Amino acid sequence: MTRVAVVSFACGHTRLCLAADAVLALEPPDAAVPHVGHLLALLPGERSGQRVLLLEGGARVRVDGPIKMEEVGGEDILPAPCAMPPRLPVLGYAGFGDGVMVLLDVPALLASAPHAEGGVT
Amino acid sequence: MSEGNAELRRLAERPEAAAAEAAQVPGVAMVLFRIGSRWCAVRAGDVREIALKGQVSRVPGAPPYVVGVALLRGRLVPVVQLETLLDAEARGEPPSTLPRMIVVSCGEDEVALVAEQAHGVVELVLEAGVAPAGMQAPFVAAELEWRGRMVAVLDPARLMEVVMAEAS
Repeated sequence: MTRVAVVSFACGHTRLCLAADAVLALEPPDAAVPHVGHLLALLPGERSGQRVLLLEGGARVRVDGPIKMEEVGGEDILPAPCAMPPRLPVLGYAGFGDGVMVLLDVPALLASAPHAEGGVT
Repeated sequence: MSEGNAELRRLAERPEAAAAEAAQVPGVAMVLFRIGSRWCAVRAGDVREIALKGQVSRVPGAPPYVVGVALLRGRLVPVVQLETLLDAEARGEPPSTLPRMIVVSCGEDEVALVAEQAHGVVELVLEAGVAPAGMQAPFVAAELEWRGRMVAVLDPARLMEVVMAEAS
């Protein structure tokens, strides 16, 4: 059974995740790095435990904690509502506990970012 | 005294009159709820549940009236801020924990409507409804008067059409 390692994090109260192999490093928070809520047009809530993710290609994005390594398998995927089919950068949704985790597409996330040298930053 | 308590007192004091009144009026059971300053109603048979304080996950790229998705009974349900859809203007950041979610079904699809207050099931007479004047949204089937307030009767099928059209 295929299971994919992901790095999960938060944007306010919303749990998001990226494929773990696209995350090269976890760095200290840096206010100069764009917040994921800014990139996705999601208004962040309380910003606690922030870190910067160094992504493949050298791009950086700031996220809210807690940041965890998890695995997502087919049995975790929740069927999307008919009224809301996933659209990039959203790949789909996974259940964890009694909550929902939004699966993000890394290339689409980077494409939505204001590009500077080295990617998102 | 609350309206519900006053109504209970009235029923208790004059049960025969209330029963006779109910028998004369062929009403439709509807769930009544308040969205902002507006009162809305949906046929009780179209309401799957009334959920309390749901945790909502925001969805990137969703239309402004979609607050996000909620996990209800193992299913993902889009959560809609109907007030935003009616007014077509943003009302700022909605709270992540919501007072009520009225989960309306339309076939296999469901949509949860954010409501500040749920009144419960009441009998409304649809024939007495007037065409919507103030609320021009296509999913408002009629407007009725209930205790001096105008109540917008929602059509779940049309509502789902609007949500799906905007989301896709």
